[in-house]
Amino acid sequence: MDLDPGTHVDRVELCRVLRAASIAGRHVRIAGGGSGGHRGRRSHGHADIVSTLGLDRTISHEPADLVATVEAGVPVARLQDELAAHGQTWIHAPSIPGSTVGGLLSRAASGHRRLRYGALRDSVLQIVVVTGDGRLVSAGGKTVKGVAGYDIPRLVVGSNGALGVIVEVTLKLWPMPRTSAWFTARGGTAELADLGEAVRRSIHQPASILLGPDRLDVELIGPDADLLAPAGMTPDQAPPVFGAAGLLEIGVPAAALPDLAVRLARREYAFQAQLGVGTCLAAIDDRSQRDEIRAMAITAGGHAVVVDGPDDLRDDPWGPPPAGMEIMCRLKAAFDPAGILNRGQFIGDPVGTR
Amino acid sequence: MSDDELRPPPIRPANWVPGTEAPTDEDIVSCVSCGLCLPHCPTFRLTGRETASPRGRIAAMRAVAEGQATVDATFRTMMDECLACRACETACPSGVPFGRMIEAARAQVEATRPAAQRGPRAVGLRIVLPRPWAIYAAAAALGIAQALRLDRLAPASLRATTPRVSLGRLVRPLPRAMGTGPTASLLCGCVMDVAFRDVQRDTMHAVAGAGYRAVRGRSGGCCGALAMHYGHPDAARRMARQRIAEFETADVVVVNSAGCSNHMKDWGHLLADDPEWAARAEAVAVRVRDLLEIEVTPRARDLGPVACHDACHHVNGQALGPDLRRVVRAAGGTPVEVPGGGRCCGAAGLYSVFEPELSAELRRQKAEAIVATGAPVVAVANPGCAIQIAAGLRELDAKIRVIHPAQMIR
Amino acid sequence: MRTVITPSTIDRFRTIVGSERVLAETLERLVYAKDASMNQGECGVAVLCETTAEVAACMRVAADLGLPVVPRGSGTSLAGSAIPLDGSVVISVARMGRVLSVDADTPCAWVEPGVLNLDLTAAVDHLGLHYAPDPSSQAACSIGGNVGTNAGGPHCLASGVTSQHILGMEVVLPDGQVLTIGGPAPDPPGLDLRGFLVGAEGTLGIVTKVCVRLTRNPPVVRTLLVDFTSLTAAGAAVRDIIAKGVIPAAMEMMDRTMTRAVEAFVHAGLPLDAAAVLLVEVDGTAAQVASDADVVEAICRESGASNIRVAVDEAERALFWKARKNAFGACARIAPNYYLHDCVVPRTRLVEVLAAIEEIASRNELVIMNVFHAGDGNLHPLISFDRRDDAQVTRVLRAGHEIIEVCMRVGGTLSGEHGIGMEKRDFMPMQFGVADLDAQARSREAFDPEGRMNPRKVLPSGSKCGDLIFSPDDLPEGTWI
Repeated sequence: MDLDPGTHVDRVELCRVLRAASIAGRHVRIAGGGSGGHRGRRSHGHADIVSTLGLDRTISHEPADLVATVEAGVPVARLQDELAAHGQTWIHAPSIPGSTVGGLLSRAASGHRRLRYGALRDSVLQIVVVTGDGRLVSAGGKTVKGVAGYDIPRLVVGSNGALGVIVEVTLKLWPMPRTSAWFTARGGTAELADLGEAVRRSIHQPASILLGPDRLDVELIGPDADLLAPAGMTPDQAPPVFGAAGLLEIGVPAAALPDLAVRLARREYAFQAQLGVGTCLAAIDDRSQRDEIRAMAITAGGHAVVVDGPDDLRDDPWGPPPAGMEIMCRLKAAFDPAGILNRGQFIGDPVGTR
Repeated sequence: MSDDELRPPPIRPANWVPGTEAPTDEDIVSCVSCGLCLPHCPTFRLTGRETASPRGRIAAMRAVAEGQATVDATFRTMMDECLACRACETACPSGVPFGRMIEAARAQVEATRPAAQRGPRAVGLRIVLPRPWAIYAAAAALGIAQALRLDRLAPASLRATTPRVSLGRLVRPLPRAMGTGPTASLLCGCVMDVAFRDVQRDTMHAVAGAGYRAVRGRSGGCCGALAMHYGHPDAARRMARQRIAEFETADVVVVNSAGCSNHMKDWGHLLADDPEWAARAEAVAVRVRDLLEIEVTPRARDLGPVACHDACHHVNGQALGPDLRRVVRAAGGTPVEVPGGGRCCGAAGLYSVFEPELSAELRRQKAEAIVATGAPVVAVANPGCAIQIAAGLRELDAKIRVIHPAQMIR
Repeated sequence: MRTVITPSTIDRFRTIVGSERVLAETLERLVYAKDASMNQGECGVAVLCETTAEVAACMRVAADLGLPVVPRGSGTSLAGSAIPLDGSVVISVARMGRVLSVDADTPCAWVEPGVLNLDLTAAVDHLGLHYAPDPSSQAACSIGGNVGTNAGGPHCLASGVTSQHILGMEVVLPDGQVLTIGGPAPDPPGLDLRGFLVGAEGTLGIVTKVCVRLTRNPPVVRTLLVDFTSLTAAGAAVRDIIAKGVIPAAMEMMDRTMTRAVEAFVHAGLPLDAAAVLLVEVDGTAAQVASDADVVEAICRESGASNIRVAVDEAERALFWKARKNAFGACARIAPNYYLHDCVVPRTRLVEVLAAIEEIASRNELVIMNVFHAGDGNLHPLISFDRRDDAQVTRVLRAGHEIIEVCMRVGGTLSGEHGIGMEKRDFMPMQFGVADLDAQARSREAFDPEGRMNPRKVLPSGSKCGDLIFSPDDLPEGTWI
């Protein structure tokens, strides 16, 4: 079956399409809002494109229960507007222009408030996916808490579409913070890192502590009495969203991040580190930079993954294979037996496929 | 729905040894198996074995009561390993009376124990303890052996926790009475009287000082607690009757040993089925006072920090933890808590004799915890604990004095 | 199929851990055939391991002989997750109880699975840290067991259940292979196996080390004990507090029967006449606590609270929590056995579900007590009974079924934190369709292709469809298209 690029499908059609593609061995690329950049290993060859943009309904929003069920193609900005009307927010989500709910989930893009509220995957209560071979699978539950059955939602979130196409999710919401404030400080990385760590230790649950080479930005959430400028900082606007053509996402133990940031600055990299969380985005131009930073991250007990960039940066997006590759591959086969989905975006996909 | 799998297994006739006390069904079903007792059980903490936990022991009792198992060697080991410290009882939200269950289970154990193992236990618990002269003869023999250093022939583990008997003190009797006021009869007991004669004397001083006419009870008059704890309820009842008869005229009965006071307060229950003695037992039981319950006059002096060791049978069953601290304070000391305070020291009556390995480990942990307090003195209000802790401190070469509260307030 | 453990098998385990730590006598096996649920299984042999190497060696023996294996921590599962069926080998990690390392800056810690939940918090208390998930059994339950069941607890309302606090683990797979999954560094590349392992109830492998996230202690905590004259009023207060946008640190409800049972143990001065007691805790900065507590108090009063008592000090707060956390254990004061459910319902439906449960209780002539995590709609209807009464057992099982039906009908979930185990296994088709269960079965197989880990738990038999042919007509009933 030939699909027009960007065909909008409903979930029944999606089941049929993927089932047929699976039997025929035709590769399929899942497209959402197109805001996700270039991920995974560069891949060549033809792939049908299925778009989730047609799945754009808000199925239910229960304000009194702080829960919403939406289709995957719903633009995050629209969802946030709808929620805001009820004084609520999907607090775990970053605001990335053009992003869809499914897109954020497939790449587990946590927002800048992760320090206080946790990772994006913690907000997913239920998920419905169409597997690579066209099965409609629902996992989790629509309540704010639930442990019935295996945690397939956690497998799917961050899998870059390797296991299936997300069609629907139920999200845990939060009350919209009534008052919040950003504070900033400028200076040398080492001093700012110390300052950031001091904020982390002295202030109860800061929402965000973002460290760049020459700026530190802190967001506080709470009643007015708690929104006082931390020592050495002044009120300011939110910092600009960090972006670059080549982006590396670093994860190290939170305790090791300040040191890593200082080393990155010394090598004159642009970066934004989430202190307390242990993640850091760094801008890279070439493979040697990627490898240098990755080596630093590994030494610090972590890893570095290319999350956007041209093909040459993506010949090795993940670095050394993590433990459990064999199991990951078996899971992939359980959901996408023909291996047709988002070729190159699963860590276990064979290198150099067409 | 496969409801069948969720249905409890059928209940068959109990496999208890007939004619011997056994845990009652009502007590057994009062355990819902929630497991909240587990962290409080010293033997579970030490071994990680469910079979060495209160929940496991009750499960074993239940298995026998419901015909799934018999009182066999495994059952005996499980019950023998129990310290009967009753920490589980204090922790149990459902109020499972574990103390009396383990006593009944041990009666079953004794009834089935092979003769070769039963003999020595029975001699001690059924022949020596009820007979004052026999206790003295045994103590004297021990004293002579220790004087001649023959005790070195015994295994080190046993030697460490055997009390030292001073022949000189043994022949120097306690005064018959001292002080004025209501009559407070002192339980002389077994170990206290032969190994801690000084503490007995200090206890009389303390009781007299608190406004009583302290009268010494009959020397060598065992309360029967050990027999009860080790599966000889009939012997325990015999001893209880003797003591009750002895104490009926006293206004209060003062006891300076935790295991004894706890047991004696339960005499009413012990003899409840004996029409002739039930009321008399209850009448004496309600007049039993642990020494810690006596109101002592505070002293204006500073004894410095005093580590407080809680005897299991003070905190579990009698809830006298705060009283030990009150007494220490009244004596002029500053109470210091021992880390992991609620944990048994492993003395537990004859536990150090019967289960030397587990006992030694608990002794070491307790001694280390006491050393960690940094206090130069540790107050211990129970003879078994005192011997055990002194041994443990000796093993660590720690110069910490073990003192009975009676010695602080006399 | 029943497994037979032969003397030579026992010898192989003895060679690995020594004879003292292999329990094979009848009575020992009976003791290991139970956990804190009402069920009993059949244990072939219990092996107490002390190291990862021992666990791996035991798993290799089991793989070699094709034996089923059930991991066990403290055995406090309320759903039969730790119960061996059909003569399985029990591998206990109760002796693996060391806190291996604490990183106070990240903050996180590597611990062995036998470490007890509350002991972990006690071990890091001097650093101003704690381990956030606090199941009621936290004094007794192990971290390994918590990982297995994705345990919750009162304070998971604001801080999330176990899976949000587990950063990594070392796991021994059914074939004896040892893997370290995740760790203190966030978002490792590849699929989130860590997240999938949490809550798998020992069906994927045995966790032998756990990296836990630690949480800083809140500067201010306020605990309120609120009495209501009806369950409905208390349920409405809960709904309104959440709807008002206040997420307390914990919000627990206890009905009169339960309150009376537990008061007999704790002597906390709980209101014995109140139809329902709400225990609400707010924490954070002084300003945050003041503002949240104001909202909570105001809503409780509007909902008809008859009395609000604020814990005056840490001792009183501890007493309130002791009452709440000892509730299940205290119910033998009502009857010898309990059948406990763990459904979660939308908080907006709390009131009607509580009423329905009351109706089920009276129609089946049973005592059903309620003590639960009201803040997230996680019910714990506890059916109190005496298992010696056969007819009553039949009514109990029926009432359990009815409760689940009610909860499912309002969009609920089978289990909020106890897990599925054996007790809720056959209810799984009420929440999941054929394709859903099949996907779960296939995922499980990725770890345990031979199906030897905790067999016949979590998924009902026949969950995996040999041939799931797609047809739109096969879509699970109720699926929205």
